[in-house]
Parts: sequence; structure tokens; C-alpha cells
Amino acid sequence: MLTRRAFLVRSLSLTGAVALLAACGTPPAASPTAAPKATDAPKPAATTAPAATAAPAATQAPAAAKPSGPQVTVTFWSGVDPPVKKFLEEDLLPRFQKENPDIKVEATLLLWMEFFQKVSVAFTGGIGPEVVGSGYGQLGSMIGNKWMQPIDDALKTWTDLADFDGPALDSGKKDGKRYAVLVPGVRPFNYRKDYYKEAGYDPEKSPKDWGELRTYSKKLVKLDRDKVTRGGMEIPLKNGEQTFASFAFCNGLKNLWDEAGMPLFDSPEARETADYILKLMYEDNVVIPSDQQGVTGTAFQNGLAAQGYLQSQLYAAVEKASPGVLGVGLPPASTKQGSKQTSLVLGTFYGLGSKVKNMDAAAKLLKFLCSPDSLWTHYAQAGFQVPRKSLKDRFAKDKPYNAMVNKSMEDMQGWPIFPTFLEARQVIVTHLEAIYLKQRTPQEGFKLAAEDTKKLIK
Amino acid sequence: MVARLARDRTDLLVYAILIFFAVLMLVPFAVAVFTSLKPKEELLFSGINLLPSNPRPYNYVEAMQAADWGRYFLNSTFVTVTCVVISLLFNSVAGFSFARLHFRGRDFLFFFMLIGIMIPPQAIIIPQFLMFRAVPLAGGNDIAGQGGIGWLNTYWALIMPWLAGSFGIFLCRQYYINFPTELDEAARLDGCGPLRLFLDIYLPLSGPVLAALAILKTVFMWNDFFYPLIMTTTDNMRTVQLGLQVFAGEYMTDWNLLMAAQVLVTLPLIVMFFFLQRYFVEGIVTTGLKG
Amino acid sequence: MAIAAKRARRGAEPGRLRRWLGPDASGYLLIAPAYVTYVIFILAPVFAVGVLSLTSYRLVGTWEWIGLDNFTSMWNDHNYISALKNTAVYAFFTLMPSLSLGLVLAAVLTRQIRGLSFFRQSYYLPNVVSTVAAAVTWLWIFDPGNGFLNRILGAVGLPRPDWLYDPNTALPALIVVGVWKMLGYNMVIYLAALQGIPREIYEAARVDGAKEREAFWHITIPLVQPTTFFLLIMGFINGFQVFDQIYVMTSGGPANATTTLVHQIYLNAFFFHHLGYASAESVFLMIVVAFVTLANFRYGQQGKLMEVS
Repeated sequence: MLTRRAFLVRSLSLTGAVALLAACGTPPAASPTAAPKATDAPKPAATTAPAATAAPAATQAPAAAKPSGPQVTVTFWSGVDPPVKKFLEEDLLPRFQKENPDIKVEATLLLWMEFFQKVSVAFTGGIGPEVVGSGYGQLGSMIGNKWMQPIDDALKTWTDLADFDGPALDSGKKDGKRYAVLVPGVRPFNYRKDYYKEAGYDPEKSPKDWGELRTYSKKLVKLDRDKVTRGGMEIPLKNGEQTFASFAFCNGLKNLWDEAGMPLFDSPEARETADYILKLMYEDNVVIPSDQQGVTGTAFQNGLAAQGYLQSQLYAAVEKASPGVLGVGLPPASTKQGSKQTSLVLGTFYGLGSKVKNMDAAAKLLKFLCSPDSLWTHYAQAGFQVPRKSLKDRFAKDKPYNAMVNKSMEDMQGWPIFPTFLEARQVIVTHLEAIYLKQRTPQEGFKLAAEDTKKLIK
Repeated sequence: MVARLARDRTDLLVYAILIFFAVLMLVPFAVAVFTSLKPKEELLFSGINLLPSNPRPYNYVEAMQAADWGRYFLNSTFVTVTCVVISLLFNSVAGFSFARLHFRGRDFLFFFMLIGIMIPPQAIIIPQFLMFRAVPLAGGNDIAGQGGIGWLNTYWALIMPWLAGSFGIFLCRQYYINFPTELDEAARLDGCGPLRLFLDIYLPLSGPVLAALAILKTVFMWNDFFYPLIMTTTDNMRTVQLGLQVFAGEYMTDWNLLMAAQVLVTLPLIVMFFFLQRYFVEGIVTTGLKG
Repeated sequence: MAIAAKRARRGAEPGRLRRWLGPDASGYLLIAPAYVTYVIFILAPVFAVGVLSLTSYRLVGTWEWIGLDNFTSMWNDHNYISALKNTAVYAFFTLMPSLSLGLVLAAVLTRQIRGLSFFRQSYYLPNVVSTVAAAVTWLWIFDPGNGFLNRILGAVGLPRPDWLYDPNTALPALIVVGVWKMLGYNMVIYLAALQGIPREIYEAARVDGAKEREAFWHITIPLVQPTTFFLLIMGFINGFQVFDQIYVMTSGGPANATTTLVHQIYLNAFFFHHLGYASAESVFLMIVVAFVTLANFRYGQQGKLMEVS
């Protein structure tokens, strides 16, 4: 036990050190554009210093250093995963700034867990962003709330429209109008090559159907007595609707909902899928409990599962943590006759908010975000796919597993776009948890979930 | 001799119990501090090694550089200090009035105010949110309070509701009510008005209750999470608690950095507690809660 | 001279209103800052939330008056029913151990203990830590595969639950965190109360042949009753507000096993934007808290705490 004085001296000096550090590392309130973080490369200050983003009434940043002619401001809010935040802040937005010195981008990049709540405050307050990076399913809610506007007019000026993949332009369609461009993040099957080798499997081949997947998983799991310390296959117990869909699509389920938001999961295909997952969980004991949306990340991402359906936006992060171990395959088909190997595809939708003050500037930023260069950065820095035909070859050659990613994109399926998406998602998530925990049979669980989902649509 | 032995034995038991619980209480702190000092390689698959074999204090620097912590600390400090100072003034003067002054409806007003103790802040956050959004002529609003986000995402929203509190007023009143009436009478004879009376006579005697209140309020404001979560939208308005939560999402695999950030966020309060705990306990005793 | 003049003015001037208001009418001015804050930011929202609860208000689109529909649909909302159950369980099981243990530890600490301040500090410390910070640490402690707790349990050969991923252990795990946080607070306040009990009472009891345990039951517990009453109310109100922990550690899962009233309010209001419905939930939360508080007044140590001298 330290004496009180010793404790105080130590803690005070530590606090002092921290204060000093904080003072050096970050800008004071009055001049948010001052000091870039020590680790960052020098960058045009006004673009991304977070303090320079919209803060009505609280603090107003003094104008940027060089007022070169009249400046217009564009607000840009996007939901991001950490690596995406990094390259937007440090690379893409500064680049845009350099190309367009007369446009000032006020960027607010929020992690997905808080994006929708924050952006909805802004929109209902009438100060919604002009350029929006929305989550896949959230787009439905955003359009339903009339927070987005069609981008068909903006797209007319794009000369290279034919270069885009079909899904990039068509996934964000609602009632015949295009609302956003999709930067896809497909979810093929993922595995750890190092764990495969360890278990004696060929690190270039993944299980092709559900039968093989069980065998693989049983061999790959690491147990400490009965306790899974490393999962054979990741199936998030919490917030598990995406992995469930990845499985169910391969068992012939078309989607979890239809275009109107009506449930499709109260079906034999979904029930069989749940039965299969329950076998992996309880009979085979190959699943480590995890949470798709938890603050601590998924098991696969943390090296705590040998296989799983990882969102490709996190490939770069996995590669960085343990280079060369990431394997990609097609989703294993179910054991049913004629079942397919469909991958779930989600990603980020870039579109325009309902209130745009300067359409020229906003459209420019949108176009920039969807430019070949920028999309390539999305791929290189995070792991999105590049929805550009001109870049297909380059993409395929860039990394050994990209050929497989390309292949998975030949048969893929995203969520439908409908206004009650967020609520509907919560419903299926909660009931899936109950099914996985054996509180309800798949039969009961999906039936109840379907009833709850139908209630959302009046 | 036997009695002595028996006493020693019970003492031993007592210490054993006390130490057991102290350890339980302190383990999470130890886990946090030690983890914050571990290099990344030591984080996973390591059995039960609490202590870092290769301490890396640089984690703290790295954690602080990884987000806009300066800004978060600034926000938290500003909001906390403002609220503590103003609420001490408002609460103590109101508590004094309820305890020592005579005006019609005093007790009714006091009890009416006590309702506030029973209102969970989260239960009224919806109207507060709508109200702040509709503050006229702020945050892009017109005179009717439409069209913008009003006071949302500003310091106003984080500060205004906490400038006074039923509980604080209650504590102050309980404190002041115990003073002998002679105290006022003498002063009144000298022609002291109520405010003078408070400032000259009572305020200098209020050390313990103000210290207790200040501590409670500081802890509450510094640690509040729900309120800033709802009321702020952008990164530059985040308080340390929001910062910590987002940081957790961004550095989810870097437990060492996360723990370092957490230790730093907690440190100011712990330091304050060690400084002021004597006043804190005294404050509790003198606020009429003794048996 | 000045005094006389002032008194004369006072005596001569006051009109009927002034007399009616009482001798210290400036008291109104002195309570005004606090009272205005209270009325605007607490009382008005209480009424507003009551009004909102009768509407179908959402942040966007149109709304209408729907009477008590929100309240009736609350009872068909199984999320809400789970939340109600969980909240009650959480509040009760956080309160009881932290109260009783707090009192016992405080009683033990009033003996001539060396290192009193060390113990007091270490017990109180968790209360100073923010729930978010604590939750982050506890998340790691409770991690099923590689967390601190399961490593220890594994080493000793005990079963290792999935903690936050198992509906049977998730809420208890959160309760452990709650007790960890509240214990020290209750203990410190009990300690203060106990130190206010004159030692002579215990001496007298000892002379009468009472054992220490008897003294605890028959002297300590009755004498700290007002404190118990205070802590009970505060603890209950606190327990019913639990949110931060849930938000960071479990987000209500698994399968709603840890969703709470405030978590439901948060989801419905700020995520799904059913503000009318969430307001009804808020109203119900207020009613429950008020009811329990008043019941405590009625059956607890009546009025002891509120007594006007």
C-alpha cells in the first residue's frame, strides 16, 4: 500500500503528464484547425480535423488559413468501420480538398453503432448532411423518413456510368428511383489458413457443403475440456442475422424479408438452417459465443474462430493483425439437392440528403467518392469490392483471394430496401437469439418473429 | 489470556473478511491497470498472467494520440466544472431559503420540489430532447423554434438541466435547518437582509455540505453517459465517457489501449476522491443522515 | 440609525401583498434560480412526457391523439414485459446484497480496525468509476473463452459459464457489477451513520450481557433505520434507471435477457423514433418509481427523513 502522499504525488504527476500530452496532441477549443495529431501525416487542416465539423452555437471555427475566393461548404456524414474512418480522414477527403479548393467538406464520420441515432437527430432537426454514407439496410429507413433524395439527375452527368457493376447502381433503387450508389462489401466464406494447416487441411480449399463444414469445424475447434476457446465456425449468438442469412441463402431462402418488409423467414428453408446451426452449436460444440455488433469485435476477427462469414470491409484489419492467414471461399451449399452458394452482400451506400444547399458541390463529392481512384482506396485500405468493370482485372490480380471474391459476387444477395428495416432487424435478431439459446424451437421462434414483423407494417 | 486469544481470533476473522472484500473490489482495477501496461503480444492466450512481463507505458501515449482526447477532456471538464459551481450556488441558496427564511408557501414549494428526487432523468429525456431541439433562434432555428437542431449538440444542452437539483437542495436544507435560530436573530438585528445573512453567516459555515455536494455532482457529471449520448451528435462535442465508448468500438482488439484510455478517464475522479474523501464523509454525516 | 430607518421603512411600507407573502419575501428571489431550472427542465418535461404518451408522435411524419393505446400495447409487447421483469430483478438483487453487506462491513469497520481508511477507500473506489469504464473492464473479465474470470475458474476446475452470452447468467453478471459499484457507497454512508451512535449504548448493552451479534440486531439495525430507508429509496431509484451497463455490455441480449426499462425507452425513442410509445414507457417508469418511493414512506420509517424541524 502506498502512503497517501506517495500516491498523490504519483497520480498528480501522471495526471500532469497526461494533461501535457493532451495539450500537445490536440487542438484547443478556439482553434480546432491548429495541430494535427502527432501520428498523422501533414494534411490540409480544414478537411478533417473533427473539431471543425458542425458544432452549431458551441464553437465556431475561425475560417481556414487561406480564404482563396468564395468557399462553399458540403456536409458529409457517413457510418464507418475504423479502417474506413482512417482512410477517409487521412487520404480521400484531403485529396478531394486538394482537387476542389473552393469546396470545404465538413465531415462527420461515425461508427456504425452510433451512426443512425446521430444522423437521425440531424435530419429531424433539418440540418441533415448533404452527402450521406448509409448502411445497407438503414437506407430503407432513411428513404422512408424522406431523408434521402433520388440521385438520378446527378447520375446523368456521369459519363462513365456504364463502367459500374449493375448491383452498385441498382441495389439502392426504391420505387423506380435510384437513391444511392453501393460500395459493396460481400460476405463470402472466410477461414484461417494457419489454423487449416495446423489441422492438416489444404489451406487453399474450403468446405463445399454443410456436411463438410461440420467435419471441418469439429476438427478446427479448440476445447479446454468442454469449453470452446477457439471456435471451429463463427456463428454470432448475438446480432446474428447476417450470418444466419449467409447460411439460409445457401439453403434456398430468397431473403429474410421481401421488398415491402414482409417476413420470408417463416419457411422450411429457414427452419432447416436453424436446425443445422443448432447442431453445430450443441451437438458438435464448435461455436464460441460472440456478438456481431459488440464493442469487442467478432470472434473470427480476433482470431478466436477458424471460419466465419466476415464482412470484407474488415479484411484489411485482419490482414494487418496477422498477414497472410486470411482465406476466402464460396459459402458452403446446404446438403439439399440443387442448393446454391449465394453470398450475402452489404456495404455502404453513398447518396444525397434530402436538403442540399449547393447541389454542384454535393454532386461533386458524391462523384468523387464513387470515382475509380476512390473506390480503389476503399478496397485497398478496408476491403470493399470495387464495383467498376475497368478495375476488375486489377482487382483480381491484386491479392490471391480476390479471384474467389470476384467469383462470389457472381451470385450474391443483399437486403431489400424497405422503411421498417431497423425495427424488422431488431425483431429477427431477438428471436434468433431465443432460437439459438433453445428457448424456442425454430418453428415457434420464426412464427412469432413473423407475427411481430407483420405488425410493423400497418 | 483466553479472552485475549478469543479476541485475536475474531480479529483475524474480521481482517480476513475485510481483506477478502477489498481484494474483490480492487481486482477490476488491477486488471485494468495491468492490462493497460501490456504489450500487444501478451494480450491473448496467456493463461492467468495478471502482471505484464514487459510493461509498456507507451500504451498510454498511443491511446491518447489515437482519438481526440484533448477535446473530450476539455468538454467533460468544462461541463462538469460549470455545473458543479453553478449548482452549488443555486442549491445552497435555495436550501438556505427553504430552511431559514419565512415566506408564504415555503414548505409547499419545498415538498413540491422534492418530487424531483423521484423522477428518473431518463424518463424525461424525450421531452428534454424535443425542447432543446426547439430552442428559438439557436442552431438554425427560427423564432418559433423550427427548422434546426436548437441547442442539441451544444454545451447548453449538456449543462442547463443540471444547474440545480432537488437532491442537492434537499441536502442543503437539511444541513441549514440544524443551525440554532439565535444565529439569524443576531444578524437580523444588525439589519442583515436574507442574502447578506446567507453570504456572511451561512456560506462560510457550509464547507462540509458543499464539499459533499460538489463530490456527488462531479462524479455524476463526469461519469454521465446517457445524457450526452442523446444530446450530442458530433465528435467535437463528445465527453470522455462517449469518447471511451467509441474508442472501445474503434480499438476493439487493442485491449491494452482501451484499458489505458479507461484508466486515464477514471483517474481525475480517483485523485479527487483521495483528496476529498474526508470532507465527503463529513458531509454525509452533517447532512442529517446520521442514525 | 440606519437600522432604525430600515425598520421604520419595513414597518410603514409593507402593503397587504407584502404582509401576505411573509417577512422574507425575498426568499422567492433566492429560490428562483433553482426553482426555475427545476420547473423548466424537470417538471415541464414530466408533464410533456405525459402528454406525449397519449399520442402516436414520431420524429417524422404526422401524428394523432390515440388515448391510452400506447399503454395497452405496452402489455402486449413482450420486449417490454421482459424489460420490466429484468429491471425489477436487477434493482432488487443489486440493492439487497449491497445494503446488507454494506451494513455488515460498516459495522465491522467501526471496531478498532487498523487501516480503516484503506478499507474505506478500496470499498468506495468502484463507485467513483464511470459505468462505461467499469463495463469495459468487466466485459473483458466476463469474456467466455479467454476472460479473466473463466481462466481462473478453469484453473480451479470449476464450470465456466458463458456469462453475458447465456440468458441464465447474463443478468446475474450485470448484478455483480451493480453490487460491486454500490457496495462501497452504502458502506460509507452506513459507516457515517454508525459513527453517530454513541458508544455508551453498546457499553451498556455489554454490561447487560448482550453478545456482539445481539447488539448488532437489537441496537445497530434499528438505529440506522433512517439511513437504511434513505439508501433503499436511492438504491431503488438507481436500480430502475440502469442503462449504461446494458448499453455497453449486452445491448439487452441475449434474447432480451438483459433489456431494461430505460434500454427499451432508448431503443424505441432514439432508434426507432416511436416517441409517443417510448413516452408511455417513461410514464410507466415514473409511476413505478414514485409508487415504490411512496410505499417506502408509508411503511418505512415514516417521515423520519423529511421531518421539518
